[in-house]
Amino acid sequence: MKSLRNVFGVMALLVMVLGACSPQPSAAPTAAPQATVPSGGAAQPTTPASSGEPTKLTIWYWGEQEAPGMKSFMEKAVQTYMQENPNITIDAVLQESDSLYPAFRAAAAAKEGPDIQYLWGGTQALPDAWNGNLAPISDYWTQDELNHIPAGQRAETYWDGKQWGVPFYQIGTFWAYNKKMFAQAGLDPENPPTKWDDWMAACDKLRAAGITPIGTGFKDGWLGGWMVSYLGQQDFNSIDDLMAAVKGEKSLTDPMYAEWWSRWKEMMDHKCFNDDIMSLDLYQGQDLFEQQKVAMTNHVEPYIAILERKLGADTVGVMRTPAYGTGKLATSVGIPVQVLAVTSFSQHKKEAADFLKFLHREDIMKMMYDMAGAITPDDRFKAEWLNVNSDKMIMQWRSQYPLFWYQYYYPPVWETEGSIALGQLLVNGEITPQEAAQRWQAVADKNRQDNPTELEAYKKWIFPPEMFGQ
Amino acid sequence: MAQAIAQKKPVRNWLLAYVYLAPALLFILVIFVYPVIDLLWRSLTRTTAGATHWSGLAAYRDALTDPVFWQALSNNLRLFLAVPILVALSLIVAAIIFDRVKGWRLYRTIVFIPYVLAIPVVGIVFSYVLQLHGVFNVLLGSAGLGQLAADWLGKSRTAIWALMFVVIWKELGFGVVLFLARMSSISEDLFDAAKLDGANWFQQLWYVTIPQLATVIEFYAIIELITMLSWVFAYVLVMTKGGPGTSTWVMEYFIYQKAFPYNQMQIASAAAILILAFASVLMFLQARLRRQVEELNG
Amino acid sequence: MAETSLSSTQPRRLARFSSFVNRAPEGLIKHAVMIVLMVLILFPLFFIFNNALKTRDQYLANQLTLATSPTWDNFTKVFQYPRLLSWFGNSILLTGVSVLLCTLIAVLAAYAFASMQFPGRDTLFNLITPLMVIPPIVMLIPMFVLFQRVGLINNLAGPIIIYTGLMLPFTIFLLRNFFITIPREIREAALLDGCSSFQMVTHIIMPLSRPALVTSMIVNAVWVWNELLIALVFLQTEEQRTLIVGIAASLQKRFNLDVPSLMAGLAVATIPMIILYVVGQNALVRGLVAGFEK
Repeated sequence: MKSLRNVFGVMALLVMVLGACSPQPSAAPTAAPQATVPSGGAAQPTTPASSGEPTKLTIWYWGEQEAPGMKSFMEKAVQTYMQENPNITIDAVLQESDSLYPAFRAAAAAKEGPDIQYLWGGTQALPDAWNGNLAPISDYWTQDELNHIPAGQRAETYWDGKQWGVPFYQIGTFWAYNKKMFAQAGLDPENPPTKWDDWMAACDKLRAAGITPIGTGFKDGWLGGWMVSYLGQQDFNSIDDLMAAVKGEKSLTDPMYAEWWSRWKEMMDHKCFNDDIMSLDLYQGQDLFEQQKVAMTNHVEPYIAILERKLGADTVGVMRTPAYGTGKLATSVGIPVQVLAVTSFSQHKKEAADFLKFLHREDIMKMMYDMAGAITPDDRFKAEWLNVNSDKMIMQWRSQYPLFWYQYYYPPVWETEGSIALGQLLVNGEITPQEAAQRWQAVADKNRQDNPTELEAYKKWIFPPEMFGQ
Repeated sequence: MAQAIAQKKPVRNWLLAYVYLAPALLFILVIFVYPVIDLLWRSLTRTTAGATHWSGLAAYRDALTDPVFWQALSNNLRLFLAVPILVALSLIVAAIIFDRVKGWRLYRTIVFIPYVLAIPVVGIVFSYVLQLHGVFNVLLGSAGLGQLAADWLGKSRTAIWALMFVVIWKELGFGVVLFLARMSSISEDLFDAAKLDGANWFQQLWYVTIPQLATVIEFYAIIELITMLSWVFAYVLVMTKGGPGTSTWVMEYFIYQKAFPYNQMQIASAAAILILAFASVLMFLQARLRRQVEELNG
Repeated sequence: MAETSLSSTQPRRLARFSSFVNRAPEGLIKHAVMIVLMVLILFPLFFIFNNALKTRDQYLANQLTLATSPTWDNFTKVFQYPRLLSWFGNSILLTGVSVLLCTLIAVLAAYAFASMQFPGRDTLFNLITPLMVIPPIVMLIPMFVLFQRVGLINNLAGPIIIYTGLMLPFTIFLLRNFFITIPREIREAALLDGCSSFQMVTHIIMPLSRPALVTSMIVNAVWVWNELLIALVFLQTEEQRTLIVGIAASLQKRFNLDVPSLMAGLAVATIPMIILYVVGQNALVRGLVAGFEK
């Protein structure tokens, strides 16, 4: 009897405590097809219009950091779409940089989560296709629709004969320079250097004039992916050169792959960077440009446009990375795209793909440019919408030079333990360019050994000439 | 009748014990047992395009042959050095406060404050303070120690130690307050006897206070060991992101990188299982050490 | 005078050194140690609060000078960041509920381990304690998959369950080791008085164990309050973030370039904890003191 009372005592207490622990008593259904309406306040349609079953789409996206205004744009686009399609409810969740991938990978493991997922392009997106987390977008978009996207940008997520991601916006990645400081140091403010030696000479002249040439930050690592993409491809003739190294057919210690480390070292020797580059995060380093304390910084297109508006077109110019290389890609420009993809576990793939088509509609593309300064990679995007010099220049370069972005074609380990980790050691003077190349090769070897299946998948990354030209 | 009750009682107690344990066991089942089994399974298989294949011990080999794995583990071991430092510093500070130096109440209040602050707050502030042009170096310069200035978090040689300094900064107060609490219950007679024997301050600390504090010191040391092994992720994420190079990678960061950015779940799982094994060995050694000490003390 | 011969003065020197350490200057050394320590502890706080009151230009010009003409704009900016208060509420709720839940469950289990006889007791206890060393990150993927299936993502109950579970091994370990120090006679006397074993726990064991309870609750609360990874991944919508995730993930990035505003944000996050601590510190110290008496 006594022990029975004990049992009840314990249980009563537990019930009490457990009751207190779920603040939303009925908020744990096993499946929630009709979850909350986003804060916009649009009520759930009680009688769906004739256009079919009520459908709820979930989007996990990112982009506010590199294209400020993206969040407002997305909210407005979603609202517009829901008005036009009363049977569709969309829940767009802005992710943080640190949770974008963890959350998606975990959701994919559970086969439950967003219908549309934002991914950084190339090898930051394709592993999810290889692992079966994505549905091919080419099943829902016709070839004609896909052809609106510039081939070099589509290639980043074209794999095994299928398109896996729809380019959401492009982030041309260039250098902003301060025309007034250039003039002050005796450089031509309207014609920034395009050749390597001129660039190094410019660093020397700026230093001589007491100006820090480039302001950037490397503590958080992002810079590594940028530097390899500015410099690493300059001795390549085509994307196949890089792919050969990823497949292990070529060694990263070959001069063609290793020269960029020495060039980066050369930049250090010419004191091109701010001395506290290793103390600052990327954005903090770039901010030195906005404070007009440095003459150049690496930056993305939407932000260069912001700088141009803020400091004036007579102060801010945009330049390509000067060329040292001898390959056809020496003058290539990096205009990578961030993509949206339909997930393999989505219950509404067609509806999701339709929403992606909606994002490529003229008025919506214009709205995104106006609100977030982000350009949709699509030939229906009108050049006359562009309202700053830098965007116009970049648009012109896009058709003039080969498009290539190194970072999107190498495995992520090459970055974390290579262009970032080894780059930081190089910048610190803790290793030589030769050591960097050797250790990078070791990382690549180890990665191939660790990921035989990924290597097999990578080998199927082929671009049929009839689709991509050349 | 009486016999029947006597026989029944142990069984009822037995049942009752499990009723008391039930909620805890349920939680442990869900939070620990299930994930560990799941991880074990993941570490032995490889999933490609939705299909799962048996892959044996390949993932363990991949983890163990990865130089970064060893770098990460050695960084955790470096951080273990913070534990004796923390214990020694906490003891000294606690003893000073316990001597009722002027202003001891204020000292006691302030010394615990870092412990209640959030790690990201602490991490963010220190990443500004420790910058090359940050105030710490500025202060060094104005104190005439300019040549000591360094890029504390930016150089491989100093970064892990700078990180350790911040962890110590945050964790010290907990030790002080714990030790103070125990000290105040030590009988005054012991100190008086020591003073009569002519023991100086350090001798008192060494021969009287520390033995009396043994259990609390052990408790604090264990907590801090666990902290250095399993709870430093947030510092790394906020302050260094593992850099420069891989000089501040720790095991948690290794697992995080493998699982998410690299998308190599099997290696992340294998590393997780390995660290669990490592932790179990540590716990086992600690238990044995404890038993030996107890035997020595009779 | 007798100090000419080294050998003869050796003991006297020692004694002198000893008295040097022992008497007058000893106080000086102690004060010096404490003052250095206080400066080290308070400086980062000074950095936060002082710079939170500056404009961005003032900060960029000099990070050390006193904010002589304080501006409150940064705080206004931070409070316009709409979610701050709800983040705060989330953190309080998460911390409070999971610490209480964990303590309760652990008390019951620890009592069973400490005072009851049952088969498998020691094995079970020895299996549970090493669990406290497992880094939470290890559990992330399996837990997420499981919780996704049962709909506990973006639900405060999810992290509450995880935190409670993660804290249990440590809490059980601590409490059980404390409970066994309570003399058996006390427990038996109580049972003879007609206490049920449950009353035993609530009326005798828990009051006697206040210090251990206080210690474990503090350690646990500080840990939950500061936890970053689980909160980041399991609570994804902006209104459900905890304060720490809000600061580390949103605020830091939002105000990365506007350090004074970032500092204002950190100040807002810090002040309540400090107030809570200063108000509650007497209870804390009393609890701990009582706890570690023999």
